[in-house]
Formats: sequence, C-alpha cells, structure tokens
Amino acid sequence: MTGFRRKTGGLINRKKPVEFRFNGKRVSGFEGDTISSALLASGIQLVGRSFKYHRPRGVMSAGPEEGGALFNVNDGARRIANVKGSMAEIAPDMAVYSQNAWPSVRFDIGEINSLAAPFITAGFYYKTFMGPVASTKFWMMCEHFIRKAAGLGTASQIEDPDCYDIAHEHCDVLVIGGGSSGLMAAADLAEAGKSVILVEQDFMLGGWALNTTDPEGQSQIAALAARLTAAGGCIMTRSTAFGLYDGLVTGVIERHTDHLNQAHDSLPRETMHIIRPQQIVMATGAAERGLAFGQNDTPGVMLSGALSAYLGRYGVCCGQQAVIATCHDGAYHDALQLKSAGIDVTVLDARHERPAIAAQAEQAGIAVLEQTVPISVSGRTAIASVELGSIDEAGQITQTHRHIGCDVMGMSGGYAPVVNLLSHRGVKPEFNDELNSFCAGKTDLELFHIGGADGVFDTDEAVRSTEQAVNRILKKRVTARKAHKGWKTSQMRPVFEISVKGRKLKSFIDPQHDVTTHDIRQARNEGFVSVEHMKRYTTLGMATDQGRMGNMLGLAVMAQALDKPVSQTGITTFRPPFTPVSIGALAGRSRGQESTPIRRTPMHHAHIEAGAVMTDAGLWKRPWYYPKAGEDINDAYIREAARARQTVAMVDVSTLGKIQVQGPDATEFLNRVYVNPFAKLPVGKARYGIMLRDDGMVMDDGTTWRLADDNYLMTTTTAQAGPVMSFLEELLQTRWTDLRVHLSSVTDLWAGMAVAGPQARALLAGAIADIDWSHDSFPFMGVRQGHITTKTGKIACYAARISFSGERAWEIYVNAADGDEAWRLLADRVTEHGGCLYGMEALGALRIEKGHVTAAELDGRVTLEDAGFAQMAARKTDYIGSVLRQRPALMDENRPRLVGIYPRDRRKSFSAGGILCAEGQVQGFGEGWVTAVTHSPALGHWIGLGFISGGVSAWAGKTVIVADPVRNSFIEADIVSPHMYDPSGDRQHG
Amino acid sequence: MANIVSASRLEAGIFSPKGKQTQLQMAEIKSMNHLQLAFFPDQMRALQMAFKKQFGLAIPQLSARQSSATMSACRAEIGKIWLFSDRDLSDLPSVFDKFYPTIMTSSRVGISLKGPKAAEVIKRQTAIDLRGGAGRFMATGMHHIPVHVLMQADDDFLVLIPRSYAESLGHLLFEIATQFGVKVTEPVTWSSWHRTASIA
Repeated sequence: MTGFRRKTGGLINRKKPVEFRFNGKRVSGFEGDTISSALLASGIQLVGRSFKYHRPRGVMSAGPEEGGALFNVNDGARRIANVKGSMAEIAPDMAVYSQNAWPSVRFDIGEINSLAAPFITAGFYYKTFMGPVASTKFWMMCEHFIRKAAGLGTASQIEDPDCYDIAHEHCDVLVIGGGSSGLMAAADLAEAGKSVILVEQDFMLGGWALNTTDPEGQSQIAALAARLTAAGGCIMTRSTAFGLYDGLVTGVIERHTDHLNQAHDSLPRETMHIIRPQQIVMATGAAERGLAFGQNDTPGVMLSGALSAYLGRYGVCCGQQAVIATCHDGAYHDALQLKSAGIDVTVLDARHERPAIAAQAEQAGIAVLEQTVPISVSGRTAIASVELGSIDEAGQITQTHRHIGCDVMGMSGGYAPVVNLLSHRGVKPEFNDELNSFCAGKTDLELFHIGGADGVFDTDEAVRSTEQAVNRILKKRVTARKAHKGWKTSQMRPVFEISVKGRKLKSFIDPQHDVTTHDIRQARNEGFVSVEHMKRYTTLGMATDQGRMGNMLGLAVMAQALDKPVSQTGITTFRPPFTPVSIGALAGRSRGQESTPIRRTPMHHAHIEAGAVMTDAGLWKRPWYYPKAGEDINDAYIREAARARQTVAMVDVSTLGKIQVQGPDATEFLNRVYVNPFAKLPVGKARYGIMLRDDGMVMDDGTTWRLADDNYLMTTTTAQAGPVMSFLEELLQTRWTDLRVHLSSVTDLWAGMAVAGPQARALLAGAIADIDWSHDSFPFMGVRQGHITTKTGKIACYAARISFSGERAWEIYVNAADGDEAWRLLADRVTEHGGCLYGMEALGALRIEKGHVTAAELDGRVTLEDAGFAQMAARKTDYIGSVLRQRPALMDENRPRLVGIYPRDRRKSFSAGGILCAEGQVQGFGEGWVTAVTHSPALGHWIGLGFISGGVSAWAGKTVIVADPVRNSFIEADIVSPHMYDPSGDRQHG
Repeated sequence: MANIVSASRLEAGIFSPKGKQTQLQMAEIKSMNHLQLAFFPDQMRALQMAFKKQFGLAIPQLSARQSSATMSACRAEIGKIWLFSDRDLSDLPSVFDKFYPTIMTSSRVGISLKGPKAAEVIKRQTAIDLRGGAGRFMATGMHHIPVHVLMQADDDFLVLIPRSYAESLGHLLFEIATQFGVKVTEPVTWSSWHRTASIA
C-alpha cells in the first residue's frame, strides 16, 4: 500500500487484499474498496479523459454523481462501459481501463481537441452539420472521425453471455435508501406490522454514516438493520431504484455478480425488480454540488464530502494538504474529519458573517479564510495550488493574487435533496430559498420524503422528519412541528459561479459532457432561454450522472444570465432511469431461443426422431418436411404429397384450435357465430363452418363436431385459435348474456393426426378395430369414438372423417398424454402400407391443389363471396356479420375472387406475393394477387391460388401476367377454378 | 445418460451454484386426474349440495381451493371448478351430468416447486402478490403463457402449465431455480405431493 492509505480506519476488510488491473498494471486494494478508493489509495489521481476536450479527469465524488472516474471494466463479452469508479466494487483480477484516451491516459493524442475548444462549444453539431450547405453528406464524411475523437467508453459488440431476471415484489411500504433515516423508518414500520422492503444502491447500509470515522454510527446502523430483519423486513443492497411509475410501481435493479468478477452459469448478473408498494418512503438523501471556478475539473478537485467519505469509509487520505471551498456549515464537518486524520486543511468560506463552527475549526488547527473563494486552480494532471479571491457582501469577487499550495481540494456549494424519482411521476421540484436547492414538490401520492431527501440536514431534525413520516403511514395522530430544513446553525450563502470581471475562466459545470459556464451563457445569447432548451442545446445533465453534479450550477448560471431568480427559471425534468440500466435486465429471460415460449405438440419428439425439419407456425414448432437422404425440401414435399395421393400419409394436426362448446344453448350459439346453421347437425357428425367478424369479413373457418345434443367440439385454424376463443367469450359475456353456454379451450387436451390417402381406411381399420370404417357406416363428416389397440392396452380416440387434403382421410384425436404413443403406432402402420409422414409443405401442396383456404387467403380482407363460400350462408337467420357483409361495395362482383392459377408454359414457376395483371397492363396494384404457390405432384406442374377482380368467369380465355417485379419475373398465366384437383370430391367421399 | 422424465422433460438431479445448498425441489406431478365442472349461477345451490355430498367439500371461492385428503377443488373461473385427484374422476354420479363434467387430464402439466426459495422462482415469472397466504388458486401468466398457480403454503407451489408449453416453461423455471440451488426429482404422484401439503 502507498502512503495514501491510512494504517487503520475505514470499513474495508484489511484481511482480504484484492488485486486488480488498471490500464494493465496491478493495483491493490481491500475487500470493500471501490475502484476509485483503491486507485486513490494507490496514489493514482489521473484516471481518465473527458468526453469532448480530452481533458485530464480524476475522481470527483464518492457516489453516483461521479462525472470523472468512469471506466471500461473487463474484457471481451463482459466489457462494460462508463462504470462509475465511485460505486463499483473491486474484484480479484478485474480489468479496469481509462476511457477516451489513446495511447495512454497520461499521454493522450486526443488532448489536441482542447486547442479547438473555442470552435466546438455548445451547438457545434447543429451549426456545422445542418442546413443547405453543410448537409447529411458532410456529416457522414466527418462522422467516423468525430466518433473516434469524442465519447466515453466502448461497449462490447459480442453477445452478452450473462443471464438476467425480472422479479415482481409486493409490499406495504418500500423504503428507498438505507441510510440512518431510511433504516429507522423501515424498522419502525416493520415492527408496526407493515411488510417492508428497503433498497439501497450501495453494497453497504449506512448512507452518510459510512463516511464518518465515528464507530458509534456504525453500530447504530447495524442495530437498525437487525431490528428491521427481526421484524420480517426485507433488505436489498446493491439495488438501485431507477424509476418510479404509475401506481407507485418502482423499478429496482439488483446487481448480483459484477463484484464477484467471475462467470456464474446459474446466477443472473442482475435482477430487475418491479416493486408494487402501497406507500413509499424516500430516504434518498441529498447530493452535494460543486462550485464553478477556473479549471475546476483538474484531477484532485472533488466534492468536499468525497474527501471525507474516502477517509472515513475507506481509510484513504486523498492528499496531505487540503483546501475546502464552501459557503455553508456542512463542509466544516468534512474539514474537521480530515484534520483529525492529520491532514493540513484550509477552509475558504464565502460567507460574510463568521459562522459559529469556524471557531471550532480553528481550535482544531484548521485555517479558516472568511469571505474567500477559489478563483482558479493550477496544475495539469494534478492540482498544485488554488488562486484565492475575496467576495464582498454584494457578491462581487476581486482577485487577491494569493495562491495556496495543495494536493487536493474539496468544494461544496450545498446539498440538493435527491428528488429525481418523484420527478419521474411528473411532480416538479420546488425551489427552497433557504437551502438554495430544489426540494420535493407537493403531491397526493402516498410518498414521503425524509431526512436529507426532505432537505433536513441536522441529525436530530432528520429523526423528527422520519418519525413524522412513520406516524403518517401508521395513521397515528401526533401533532408536532415540522422538521427544520437545512442546518440549525448559520445558513448558507448561495454561491454557484465564481467569476471575476474581465477575466476568462474555464469553469466546468458538467464534467462528464464538458459543459462550461460559457456554454450556458452562449445558449442564452442564442435564444435558448428555457431550461429545457438549454439542456438540449448544451447537453447539460444528459450524461450518465443525469445532472446530479452540475444541473443546479447550470440553472443558476442561466438564471444569472437572464437576471432572474433560480426559482423562476425552473428545473429540467428528471426522467428514468436514475442510473444506467443494462438492456439485458430489461429483457430478463426473454432472449435467444426462449425470447418467446416454444409450443410443442405431443408428438414433437417423435417428429425429431423421424428426421423432421421443423418450422415455426406462430409459437408452435411443426414438422416442415421429413427429408430422406439426399433430398432437399422440394424433393421431400413432392414425394410426401404424392404418397398421400397414391397410398397413405399422416400429418400432425394437433395445433388446430379446439374449443368445447357446452350448454343448452350451444346450438343457438353456433347458429349465431357461424354463417351456416348447425341446428340440424346430428350427434356424431361434423360440419364445416365459416365465421365472420362484425364487419362482415371472414374471420376463421373450421369443423365443429356434435358430440352430444348440448356438447360440441369446435376446431379453428392454428393461427386464429386465440382470437376466436377471445371473440366467442366476449360475445357471451357482453352481448348474449342470456345464452347458457360454457366455452373451454381444449387445444392442449387433444393430440390430432390426419391420415389421408387411398389406403387410409385399411390402415385405420387395422389400428382401430372397434369402429366400422365402411363408407355407409362412417360417411364423410362422420364422427366416431373408438380405441387404438396398443401392445399393452387401448387408447381412447375420436375419429372424424374430414379431409383437408382432398383425399379419403380421417382425423384421429387422442388424449394429449397418449399422443406420442398413438402417433408412433400409426406411423409404423403408415410405413407398412407404403406411405409416409408429411409436413407443412406437403400439406400446403395438397390443400392448394384442392383450393382449400388458410390464413394466407383469409387475411381479414376477404368476404364470403370473395372466398367462394356465399352459398353456405343462411338466408333467413342472422349471424355475426350478416348485415355488414351485404354492404354494396362488398357485394360488388368485380371484387377480387378466389381463383386457381396455372402458368401458361407449364414448365415455369412463379411466386406467392406476385401481382396479377392484365396482359399489357403490368402496373400498380394490378388486378389481383397470388396467395400461395406449389408444385402439384398430381398435376405435374406449378399451380397457385390467388384473388383476381371478377374471379374465374371474368378471365376465362384471357392471358394474365403474374408480375414479380422484385425478382424481375413476369409469367403468362391462365386463371382457372380454385378446385384444381378432383373438383367433384370423389376421392374424399369415396 | 440424462434421465429424461415426463412432459416437461426435466432432468432429475441436483443443480446449484458452487458451494450452495439446494433451496428448493422441483418435480412434475404424475397421475394427476383433472376434471372440470361448469355451472351457471342458478345452479350454484344444486352444485353445492352435490359437491358436499360427493366430496365433503364446500364450493371454493373464486381463486381459492378446497381440499380433502384425496382431492383438491379449485375455482378456475366464476362458473368453473377444477377437481384434481389421482382417483378416477370419470365415474361421478349422474347428478353431476348437468354440470358438464369434462375430463381435462393431460391438458395441463403440474410442476411442483417446494422450498424456501420456491416463491422467489414464482416471483420471477409472474406478478401475483404472494402475501395472501396458502390455499389460493391463481390464474396468471408466465412468459406470456396462461398458467394457474396453486399456493399450498408459503414455500409450496403447484404451477399448472398448458401441456404444449410444459417443456418450454418447465425449462425456464428450472433455469431460474438453479441460482438458488434446486433438486429436480423424478415425477411424483399427485397423492404423494398432495399428502405433504397443508389442508386448507
């Protein structure tokens, strides 16, 4: 360890040294150190370079407001950019790199940008790259170089190997902040019976109490935490509340593994907790703000509280000669703590009236210079001295030409209650003249600010403010005066920018984005007087610290430029997230293969074993085709489809939607939802039905089986299963509340397989012996119950004589648990009969040959007439869509109607999506479109389905062009009936 | 060779981060018969009487469960009750015929999560408030999938997943559980699982 680390003190675990690499060199620290504390302990003050000007940057704070010590951490896929050194714990072998510096942080070529600083001030991009002359092309020419020269960290471009979780929590009270006030409130509320969750962004509880060298403070924190835990409260450290949303829903990121710095195959890196509390206690504390004076971004200049924190919590002296510039009592406590550690301290107090605490400081050996402010500091990569100025009662600053040598400087312009989360709910913070800060605005939300977050900086008063919030939550009637905001001792003097007439100073207010006081005044001069415009023009407060470091300074400079009080210029809106959130945490487990759930049929693994190539059908995985050795998809599906026509083939149809419709009014219900009547459908029969939407367009089709007088099994298309179920439920619950009908989704209850082909009857007769398969006994659209005989028993099944392929075919439904066994058994029999399994591609070929429609045709724009179903519609009764389907425009005979398409030259193919045009008029939307195309094994050439104006009759004998401009394909075609194969239906009825 | 079991195809074994004890058990439930009874509001009284006589149970409130030594009755919807047992439920007396008894066995796969961290796994997939105590039967969603969660105790849950999603969601629940340390067992019978649960 270097001399910067004290031999004793701090909350680090000195028994556990931790080594990590900083810019390739080994650096030592202890367990409990942050990157910043470890670097400071090792005497490293220059840690990075700034965003725009590549100015040297050092550690500036000890909290999330950090604007200087930002690092790239780790290599490869786990590299993270813009990690705040003040928050990140060190871990063994962690690799830490300075950002925006090349070839090294000490010698950075990019520093040349500083020379161009006068030209690249606020609004540089707007002025340089917008307008008629400087156009997009100019920007694109310069973009590469600008992106190289500017910026902060670089993100990994490799897929994130970590996993993330999203968790949902509920509680009575969420306490945000684990400092003394938060812990006290949480413990009291938990002991009163409330369910309490306390979240703390730090890896230790204690808040400001951690920064003191007072051991009593630590034991009090431990006692409060123990009380909270004993009362059943939940404490979450390393957990940042990053956003507050409707209904007090709070987003919290919990970090699990970054501090372990090793891959964990089961631990998520982070969990995003979505917490739904009844009430919230904001114990978020207050953030210290700096002062704007010359070269205030020099390494070694940091917040006064940070000096104290590094000493108290980490046992690190940031320097041996410290200057603290302030305008309030709070910084004196920092000075006293530094002095007690043997550091030589000088306090520059801007106030005109000598505060009482000054005497105590002087007694401790601290030099106090009253009515004194820092004008500028000297030193390039580390502070060397401070130039002093005197400030009079009116605030005028004059140069004294006096310099004080120092190796570290603390600055403190006051504290701002952290009210960002409330701002997320649209509640504007209100300016408090006494604190010279914005405090929480008035709100009706069940949300209470306490302690520092309420602007209360005195310990006793913070206890009072906590008790008051607890009493309000517990609805205790206690009348007491409100807690006093600020300090009980002498008040602060508002000091923001320290400027000297006639002297140019480079005073930074947002060190992360290199925004200076000059930029703010320039924005004002160029008309950006609203704080929201100023923010966007200068980028003040848009960095990862979200304005915690410099927002107030910027607002004050703008107010001064406008000659208005800060309360009138207002404050910009804080938006989520409070601190950066990993994209992975927002996605949770929804990534990769599991980004959406996978739906498998009961026969899924049998398909895989049979060599099926699977395809997605919505969430379902379905067999696409079953290739034999050497076959591609075309070879396979043509073989499969041909086999269905010639012998027998089997396909998995489990994905069809299935809805049980039960009740005394089930028949009436079906009459109303389908265009065709169901009243006369006998038990043991199925009927094909079409349902419309309210607007008269076709919604879905399918068969419905009558299993009993008051019990039907409705099937839907795979694609529309969910929407149909929802629509039917809506009808029952809102329009037809008088109908006594129960609906149950039973899609997952049944495994379905369609056996099709001339030998289907023989095959099934051998497999299911207790059904009479003769044509007379089991006619087309008949439904029967039976049992598939297995080696060990029987599997109950339904058999329905339904044909989507146009062949003699049956659909066999068994209980899903029996699906795999039944499928394998029937598949063996299919093979025995010289048949094969077929997938989606062959299923498509067979149905196109027959002119059977699917979602490709029923795309929501199609009427009954368009699809050729008009003759099915009931004429005397009403059904959903029956009125609106008869609108004149929908009955127009020239509307596109379903047709079959043959290429004129039968050797040629064409593609789905092609436009159907009249010969010589290939333009615009043409006369229609192609919905599906296949090679027909039965016809021996390519065929298609589509819609064309007027239908078949309008185009008989005419040449149509299938135009596919994207592929530069223009094929002459004939329009034919959509029923291109076995139009009489002899095969399926045979 | 992995021991592939059941519809969820969970592998039996112990899975936990290095040096961590398992904090929950996971198993698919086998031999779980599932019957649905559906009723209209004016049939409530008749169903109550039949229910009491046949099962010795009151009709559960919405989103709640009633249990006997051999059976759980859960109110899945306002007008629907799901019965779970490993006894054959298809032989109900004819008095139940008007309640449209529908065998739903195998439409859903039950996955049991038991142990101190079981609730943590549930919370990572669904937004339901688990503070309400045992005996609740909640319709919710996990990973966009409609599921039901039967809360036997604060540390004992049964997740009923539509069968087609069982492998996908079972795997996801398992992956989440591994961070806490999980022991996946061979499928357990419904009755053995039910016996260990508290009777509401």
